[in-house]
Amino acid sequence: MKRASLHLVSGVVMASLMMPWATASARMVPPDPDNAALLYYQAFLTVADLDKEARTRIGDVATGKAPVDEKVREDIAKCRGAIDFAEAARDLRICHWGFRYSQGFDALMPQLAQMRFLAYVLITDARVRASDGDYRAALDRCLMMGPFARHVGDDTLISYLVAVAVRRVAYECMESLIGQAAGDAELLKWLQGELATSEGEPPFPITALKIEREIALDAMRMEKIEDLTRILTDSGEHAKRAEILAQANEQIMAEARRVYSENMSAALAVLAGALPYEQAHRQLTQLGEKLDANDPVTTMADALMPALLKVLTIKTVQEAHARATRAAVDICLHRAMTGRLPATLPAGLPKDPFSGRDFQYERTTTGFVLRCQGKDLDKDTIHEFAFTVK
Amino acid sequence: MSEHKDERWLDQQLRRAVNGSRPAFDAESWKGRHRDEYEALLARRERPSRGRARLLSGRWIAGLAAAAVVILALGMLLLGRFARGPEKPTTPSRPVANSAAEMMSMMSLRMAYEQGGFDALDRQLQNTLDEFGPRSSSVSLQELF
Repeated sequence: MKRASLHLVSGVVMASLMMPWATASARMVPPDPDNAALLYYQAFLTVADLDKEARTRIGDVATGKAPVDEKVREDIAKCRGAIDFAEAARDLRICHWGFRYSQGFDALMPQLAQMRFLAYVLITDARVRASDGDYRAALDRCLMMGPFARHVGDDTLISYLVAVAVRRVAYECMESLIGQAAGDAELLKWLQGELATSEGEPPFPITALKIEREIALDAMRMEKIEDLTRILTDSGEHAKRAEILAQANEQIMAEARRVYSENMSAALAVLAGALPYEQAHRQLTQLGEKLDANDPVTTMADALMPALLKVLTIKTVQEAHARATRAAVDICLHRAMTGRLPATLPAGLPKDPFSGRDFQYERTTTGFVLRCQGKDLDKDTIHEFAFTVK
Repeated sequence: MSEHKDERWLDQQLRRAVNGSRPAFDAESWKGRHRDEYEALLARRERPSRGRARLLSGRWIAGLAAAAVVILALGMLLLGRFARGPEKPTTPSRPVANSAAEMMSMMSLRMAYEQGGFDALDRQLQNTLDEFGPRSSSVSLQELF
């Protein structure tokens, strides 16, 4: 008995001595990157070196302008390595591109063009899968564009815009696929769940505008007047702006920074708030009207103000896309279970963000349309989303 | 066959060539004079040592390749030098990369968007890619080794 317990004790001691060694050897392999940008940079290095014609072909298929053909299948097959890297980045929260903020408006953003192309590759891959009849894989690829768009970034205004553009292409692809899979209730239920949970936060312009504000305030200084002159004259009205800059002094610059900062803070409050689209648009318009075109202070502040009305509209259109997609899945699910499209819009569906009311629902000969009830005040148009049901 | 004998034979051949007559190799008399070497050569042909032959041929090819590389490099150097003609000061060409790189700057992209919306931004990103291209080796590790 004594001997047995001695063996037990020595066994435990040995095991406890061996454990750190065993776990240390397990730790020898470093983990995969936790920064999605590192994976995307590898994707850029492994994406096929396609010529312009092939890249255009991929873009056309991604945006639905051209059907999937053998050539595009070959192109996409060559991009498989890049697609794998993008897939690996999907679940990562962090995405730091190593952007050189210190360079201000002159900072280069080479990743944006590459990300745009990679987005086209991914969406084209979705369309290839759909043409093979694998709708689930195709829709999953579209869902992947949620985190992808977030990774493109909401850290500068321009990366926010590219993120929105990428997301829009993904929604358009999803819109064309939902109708094709309209008879598959199981698939639609899965998609409904995924859209509610895994799609992630949409790109949001607030962080981007805050960073933009800091960059602009830093640029509006006498010690950077030459750079500022170049930036302002790049944007047109050369003579006028050159004249104003000739008058620039510390006092004017300080005042311009104050005006710019106040306007941006007011705009951020409007954009971050929950005001209806029309009201938010009106408030932003009023902010712009306060600026006097003949005052050097307000002209300088205005020159660096981003197109806030466009930002508001883009944000709202993106929300409309997301909500229409979710509503369409519910409508198609109704059809899958009852065998026909509902006569009227079912209750409890997401609302049109332009008006805050239900989407206008209309059955067509090929499927159905979800139409916004509020107008896009920038383009003076009504957005609608058409779904062709198979 | 010794090195000394080889040299003497070569001298004789050269002398005959310089005197105006074509050097002629009398194989039969050589076989008679060097019976042992001749038989050794015949034996080697009948039982070729494949490894040695491959090694020798490999060395020969490697030597030839090295010589070709040297000749090619010299040739290109000389051709390049003479083809340029007389040296004259060249004006530095416009740094294309710099101007193209500007297309990727935050300000340039921002301007594109403000002037033409999403379409203009998309066009500029497309142009950036046309200029720089998606860089890729398109080579897997398996293909490298």
